[in-house]
Amino acid sequence: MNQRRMLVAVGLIAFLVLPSAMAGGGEGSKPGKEARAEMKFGFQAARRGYWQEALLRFERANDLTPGQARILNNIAVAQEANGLFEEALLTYQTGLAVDPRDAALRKNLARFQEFYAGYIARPEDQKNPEEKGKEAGDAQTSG
Amino acid sequence: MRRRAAEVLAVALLIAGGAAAGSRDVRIALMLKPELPLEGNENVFVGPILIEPREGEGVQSVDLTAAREFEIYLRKVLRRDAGLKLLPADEQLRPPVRDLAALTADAGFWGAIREETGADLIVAAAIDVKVLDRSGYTTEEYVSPQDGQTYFRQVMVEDTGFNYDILLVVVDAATGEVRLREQITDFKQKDERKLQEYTDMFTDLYTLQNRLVGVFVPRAVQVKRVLYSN
Repeated sequence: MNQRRMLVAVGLIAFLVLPSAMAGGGEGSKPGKEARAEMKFGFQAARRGYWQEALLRFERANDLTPGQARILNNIAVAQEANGLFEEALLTYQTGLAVDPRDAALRKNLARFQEFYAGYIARPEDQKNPEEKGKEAGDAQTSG
Repeated sequence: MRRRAAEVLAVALLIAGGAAAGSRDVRIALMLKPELPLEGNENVFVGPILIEPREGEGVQSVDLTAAREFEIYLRKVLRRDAGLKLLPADEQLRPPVRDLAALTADAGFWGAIREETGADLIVAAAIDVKVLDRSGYTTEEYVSPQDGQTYFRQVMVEDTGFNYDILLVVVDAATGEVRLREQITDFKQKDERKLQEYTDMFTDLYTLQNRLVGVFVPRAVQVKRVLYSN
């Protein structure tokens, strides 16, 4: 009976963890490996302050394995560093739509909103940055 | 059977661990564009600094001091921090109205300043200073470290100082067109006993300084973000 319970537990862990682990880069696949390499390279570039290079690498990683919260997080941070604040907001929101529990995304978005309210939004048109992000999104899709 | 289960568990955890992405805090200097793009060779005239009219109240000494101090402070910030070329102050400058909103519509006034000083840009402001004196007692909860019980105690709360509300306008002297209108508020904490001393009214007002400088020159703001490393 105990063995059966243990097997069920193992099966449950495998069922819950494996799909998200595999989705987190498609480890075995070639695009997955390439995306990981791009992410690593981008991270190194970012740490040296080469944020344009970092953004390019993160975007390549996203092209290779689209729709991953951790890649979207890095893209959003790199967009911020490159002064693309409206785009960064959209990317944070997209990332959180993919994985609402991603702690880094949530923390970064909260910090970004604080920064946005303090430095970007003018008092007379101090809207919620999310509204501005939606407007920017509309402009992008209509353009 | 148990061994097999343990093996499956180990493999599952290994794959999950390998896939889990590492993350690091990184510091970024976010560049903020100036709100007013300048060539850098403009002649800038500072003035007039007006006192915001208040209904039912005359001009008080604090208003006069604040306006004078603000002009000194503004000139210092624009020259030192924004690196602007400032024209000498004009002591004889007498605006036809004391309301900045009305004055901005008077293109002739700005044109006259341009003729007299050769200014390309004019930085004018209206300032409203409120002296806040809201000290008093309030009740707060605290847990005694000795017996762990929650008690209530009276604490003195001081909310005293100067509250600034400043309307800053930058006018194109050639056309009289308002190129920028900025409303800035800030608060300077001041000890209740020193509320009558109007010295150093604008020192250490970082919000105000940041906003003023940000109108004319790019700034870098240091922020922290979490970045995945792989």
